[in-house]
Amino acid sequence: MPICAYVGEMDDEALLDRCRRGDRDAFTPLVHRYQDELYTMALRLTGNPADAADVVQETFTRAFRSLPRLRGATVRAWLFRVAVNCSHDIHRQRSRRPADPLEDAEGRVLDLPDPGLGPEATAIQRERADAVRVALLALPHDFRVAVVLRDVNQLSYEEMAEALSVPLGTVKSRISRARGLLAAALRQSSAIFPRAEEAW
Amino acid sequence: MVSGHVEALFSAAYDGELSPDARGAFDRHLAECSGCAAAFAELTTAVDALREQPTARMPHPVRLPEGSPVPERRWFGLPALLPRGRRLVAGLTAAGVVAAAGVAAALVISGGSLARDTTQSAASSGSLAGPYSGSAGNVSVLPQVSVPSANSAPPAHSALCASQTLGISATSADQIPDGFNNRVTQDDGITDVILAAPSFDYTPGETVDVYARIIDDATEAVSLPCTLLVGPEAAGSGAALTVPATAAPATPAGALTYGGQPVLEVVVPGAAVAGETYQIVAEVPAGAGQTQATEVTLSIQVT
Repeated sequence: MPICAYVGEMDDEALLDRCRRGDRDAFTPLVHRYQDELYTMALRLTGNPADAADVVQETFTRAFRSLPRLRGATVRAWLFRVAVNCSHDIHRQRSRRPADPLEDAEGRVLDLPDPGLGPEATAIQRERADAVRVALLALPHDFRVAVVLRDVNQLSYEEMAEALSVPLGTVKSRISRARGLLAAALRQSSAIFPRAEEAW
Repeated sequence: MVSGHVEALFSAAYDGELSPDARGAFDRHLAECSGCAAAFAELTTAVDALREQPTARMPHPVRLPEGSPVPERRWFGLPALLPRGRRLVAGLTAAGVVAAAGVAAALVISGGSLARDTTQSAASSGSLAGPYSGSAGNVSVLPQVSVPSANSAPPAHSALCASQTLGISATSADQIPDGFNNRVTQDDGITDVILAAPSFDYTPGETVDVYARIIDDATEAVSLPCTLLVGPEAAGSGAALTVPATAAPATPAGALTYGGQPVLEVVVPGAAVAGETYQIVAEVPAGAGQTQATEVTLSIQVT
């Protein structure tokens, strides 16, 4: 079996162990394993594909430098922690750029629903995606982070506590509050609540 | 009308986190209360809509740094990493801070790690220790760093820097108020050292209240022997600044609790220009809650 395939099948802890010993090849599988998850998180947090890509790039750059020092935390939760911090840093240090959130700099569509859907269903899905995006960006940052980590990336409460450096109770209260705010923000969206429109 | 105590259970109910008894009572209430049932259905629909959004794909390959995955910077290299031409140091306007027993001794921190950049290694720490006074358990006046104009002569700062300590205490969760957007964590897998400020955006001359906490099961307090304000690399204001920020003195473990109080005030340079970014960099030496020497950096932007 080729060495690269073997390394790619290792679990996070085994890869981390090899990284600590300076094995560059052991880091690449971690990138492949988590880049899309982190990109999705960053996209939901920033609403901007270019910023989200930069968040992922910066996250792995920082992780490459400091991952070997990681002790006692899961790689996944730690990467999310770094990515959340990078999202803070990158997004707030830049002026907001007008961009179609569904396209990257080259105009490629990144975040489309199921390609097997017909035109009408696709249009509905895009409307729903846009409504969710707008609602998320309207949330205060801490709550946006909470609901994204929980409901987009599906981190456990414990992973979130680890990633956010807050107690478990704070995690639960933030998720609860964030979901309430999200529901309130979406309440008037006909894409999410069709009956709201029919009532007119 | 939605009952508040029932609404508080919505999220846990959605996650299936309620105990069987609690879930039974919850469901019985919803069966009898149309308002709560409608509100829970609304929350469920909203969260489902978020969850149905597909995973996006990273649009281009991640570029990794050259070399092997090893720590990029160690504290002992920090001064050397800061461009020499950009080091200007202001006079410190350190005001009184808590002095617990043993504080005076704790203030005199070895400057060995900074010796390579010390131009006046004989600078006394006594001048810094002087302003500190007060009684244990309270922060009487916060230490403050003000940055002068870019034309100020650069005094010998390394010795000053090495004599100052940012004391971060305790593990309670209320060290940093909720809702602070500007927050950074230095994590070595065992101990987290966190710096936070209420905002990212500050105007020239405005004071940045810096909060801090640590999270560690075993460590009740850490002493960060040097905190710097590092100016922008693109020196739109005429010069970039690197200024040692003074801070609370070291205290015996558990002797000082800041609970919701800032541990440091940093004044944004009056000559700063909108768009510039400044960084508040705190050294976290090995043994002070971290397994290896490192640093934690909090960025602020001038608006």
